[in-house]
Amino acid sequence: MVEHVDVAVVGGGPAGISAAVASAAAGKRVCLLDEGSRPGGQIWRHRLGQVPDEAQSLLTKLDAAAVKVLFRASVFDVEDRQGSWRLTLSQGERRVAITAEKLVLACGARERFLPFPGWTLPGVMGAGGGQAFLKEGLELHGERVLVAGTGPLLLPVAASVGKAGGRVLAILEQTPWRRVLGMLPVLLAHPSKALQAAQLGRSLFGVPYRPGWWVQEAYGKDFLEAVRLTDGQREEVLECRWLFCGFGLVPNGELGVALGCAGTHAGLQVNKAQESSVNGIFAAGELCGVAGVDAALAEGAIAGLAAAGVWDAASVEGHRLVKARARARSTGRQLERIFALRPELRGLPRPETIICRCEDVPYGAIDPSWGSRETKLCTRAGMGPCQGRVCGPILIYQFGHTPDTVRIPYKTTPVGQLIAEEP
Amino acid sequence: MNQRILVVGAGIVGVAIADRLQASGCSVTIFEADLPGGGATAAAMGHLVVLDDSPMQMAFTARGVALWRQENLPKGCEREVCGTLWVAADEEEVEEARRKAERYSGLGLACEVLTAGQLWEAEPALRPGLAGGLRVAGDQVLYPMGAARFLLKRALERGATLCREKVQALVPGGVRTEPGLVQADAVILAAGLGTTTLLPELPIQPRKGHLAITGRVPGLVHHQLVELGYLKSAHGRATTSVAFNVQPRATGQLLIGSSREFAGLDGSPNRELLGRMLRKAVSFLPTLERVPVLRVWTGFRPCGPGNLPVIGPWPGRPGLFVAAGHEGLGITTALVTAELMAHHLLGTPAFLDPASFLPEPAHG
Ligand SMILES: Cc1cc2nc3c(=O)[nH]c(=O)nc-3n(C[C@H](O)[C@H](O)[C@H](O)COP(=O)(O)OP(=O)(O)OC[C@H]3O[C@@H](n4cnc5c(N)ncnc54)[C@H](O)[C@@H]3O)c2cc1C
Ligand SMILES: Cc1cc2nc3c(=O)[nH]c(=O)nc-3n(C[C@H](O)[C@H](O)[C@H](O)COP(=O)(O)OP(=O)(O)OC[C@H]3O[C@@H](n4cnc5c(N)ncnc54)[C@H](O)[C@@H]3O)c2cc1C
Repeated sequence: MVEHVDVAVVGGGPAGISAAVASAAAGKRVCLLDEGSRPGGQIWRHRLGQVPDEAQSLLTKLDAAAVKVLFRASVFDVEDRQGSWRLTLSQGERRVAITAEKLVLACGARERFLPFPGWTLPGVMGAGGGQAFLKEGLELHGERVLVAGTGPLLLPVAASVGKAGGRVLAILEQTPWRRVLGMLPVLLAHPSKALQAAQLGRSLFGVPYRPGWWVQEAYGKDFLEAVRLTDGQREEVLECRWLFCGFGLVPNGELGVALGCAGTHAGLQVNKAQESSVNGIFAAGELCGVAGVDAALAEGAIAGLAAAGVWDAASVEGHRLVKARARARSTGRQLERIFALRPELRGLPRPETIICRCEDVPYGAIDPSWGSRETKLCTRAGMGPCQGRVCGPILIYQFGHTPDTVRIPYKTTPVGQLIAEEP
Repeated sequence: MNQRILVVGAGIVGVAIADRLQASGCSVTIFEADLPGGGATAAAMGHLVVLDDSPMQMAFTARGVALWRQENLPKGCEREVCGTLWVAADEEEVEEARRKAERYSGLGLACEVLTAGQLWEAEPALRPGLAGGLRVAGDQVLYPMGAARFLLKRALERGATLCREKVQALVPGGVRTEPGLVQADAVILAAGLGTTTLLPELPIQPRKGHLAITGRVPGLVHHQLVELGYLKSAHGRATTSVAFNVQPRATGQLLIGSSREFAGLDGSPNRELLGRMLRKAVSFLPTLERVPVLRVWTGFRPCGPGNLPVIGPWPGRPGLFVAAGHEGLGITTALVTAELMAHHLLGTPAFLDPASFLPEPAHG
């Protein structure tokens, strides 16, 4: 049986929840789909019973709203059915089909990985993935941990490490001091962020924050043992057990791109009502470009209202949302400039450094003169289970490739579920 | 000798021809508008298979497979001599397997008819209740893109030139490209679907096919598995059809085919047909149901006017040769196509009757 709704929202992070709540409040039948097992997305993923305060009010509204929520639901196909959208998703053993008049994409962003020698060693983790582990209850028992990469996310990650009993040796921030200082005006303009930063600062008291430094190589036999770092002139070797590495986020734009929405790997394009270039498809949050939770909340609400056909920018609420969005986006752009990746990071991989983890493709196998399709077809880079979700952004950064084409299934799906019901 | 030759198209057919002619002392330039091997070749399954539709098709594909066997292919070609197992669903198909076995044996090809029990032993993942099968031991699989690159690289090492330019038009004694005219002793048109644009008298139509690649399930399937019913479905030219056709890859993955339809050049998946194709695969291999699919793609077989490709001089156009319309067998027959082309240009022996492949007006 195919369920029909007015608005289907893909992604249950702040943007998606906010969109679902807004559409439902306008009287629409809404369905919210998420791959995770709980609402909240990347930022509000939490242990059972420990809902973060800032999420609580929105989650309460979601509970109260007439929204059908499907968790552990991977949308692997979306078809344009002339005037409506048909989504097919895999939910455990089940295949579920939903048709919707309007679609709100709020698929968020994923971590960006950059390759350096040793980055695939056990013990080296993405900062976001590492933080998720910590939130799920990973204990560190006084182990030595290095946090490295770039951006404001490194601070809460280091704080989580401390909370989990780990010893943070240092936070390496690849952006130089003079650019990090550019954060000051941003913080002054956002007292709430300044407060957060101050609280983080207190919990990180005594942890060296080292702008202008980055990881050059990770060593270890079967597990991480040490890390070599540099600031371009000096080098140091630090013994450690864990390395949490974060190089910012990449929008999960695949579904939108596959549906023909205009945009790039840096984000889908939307108009003032958060509608994409494709009629009836709206997008909100990180997949329109990384800008954080405030942008996601405002854009989600706008998209939800617009999908319900009741968006009014001139209303009081409309004004508030437009202002909030503009502010958050402008901060997002500033942060992007401040934490832009330095070119030296491009020079880190050696010929034997793995670029595509699914297919074990080393850096040296890729001819820099190749385009993206040639690279894939000749080396298998991007052909594995993650379909280039990890190595795609690496290849874009290292070689200026264009993102790969997106094909069904949008998520790895068992053969049995790809088979439509008998016609 | 030392003829100057232009090959239009660096698909598997074009690079095989270029390599063969360059090895025989010609001086070859290959023109490729896009990515070498990036056309039908990149989308293909890479099953090197002897088919016995007609005596000539059988001789053609058998020679093709034999020539591939003689090649010492590097690892990147992912070649496996896994053989083909033709699966018989009922007694009628077992009869067909026996007739097939006679034809294959007649050509000296190693094959054996399997009972239901032997079939189950050879491929335990097949559903129970099948009637038997036919194993053709010498059939192979390879990675078409890898094979095309290998042949191209060898041609270039032998002194051929690759010119990444689109051929805009054929002119007497040469081709026109953006930078200008290029003259030669002969032009060989091996442009797959691009052939008709350059030579409208030769209609090559896109015959779309779907393929699905799975995650790694090493050891689930050992042979390329094809249903004997395939022969019925691949042949109705006008109709849309699916067949059970599953290939074990060197990576431990399975490549699931196949479908055939004339649907223009729209590469987007036809969900209904894809569903039929996968349902068919699961009906033969029930465990497939839980195997994850990583990606589905489509490709276009270059389908010419006859049942065989057109290979040879084009009537009324001195110096123009054609090698196009290989439909679903261009990987299998690339090397034998090159052998036939060498016969036309250099008089070297052809092991098949070249007349069978000449364009209609010439041998009609
Ligand atoms: C033997 C073999 C094994 C393979 N194994 C794997 C594997 O393990 N993993 C894997 O991921 N791939 C595998 N592939 C597939 C390979 O990566 C390519 O995907 C395949 O060659 C076809 O490419 P494509 O059309 O999917 O994408 P591309 O080559 O990028 O696309 C080809 C053209 O199709 C167009 N196109 C793309 N999507 C659409 C669409 N939805 N609608 C309309 N047009 C579209 C594009 O614009 C492009 O011009 C394998 C291929 C072969 C031959
Ligand atoms: C789904 C599918 C599965 C298949 N499975 C198999 C199989 O298992 N076994 C098998 O034997 N065969 C198989 N085939 C068939 C096989 O792929 C084709 O027969 C073969 O690739 C044809 O090769 P080609 O060189 O003629 O064409 P192509 O590979 O398409 O090459 C033609 C080339 O010419 C270039 N070109 C075109 N016009 C111009 C121009 N004006 N100037 C310059 N360059 C130009 C194109 O860019 C292209 O690279 C399959 C095909 C499909 C679609």
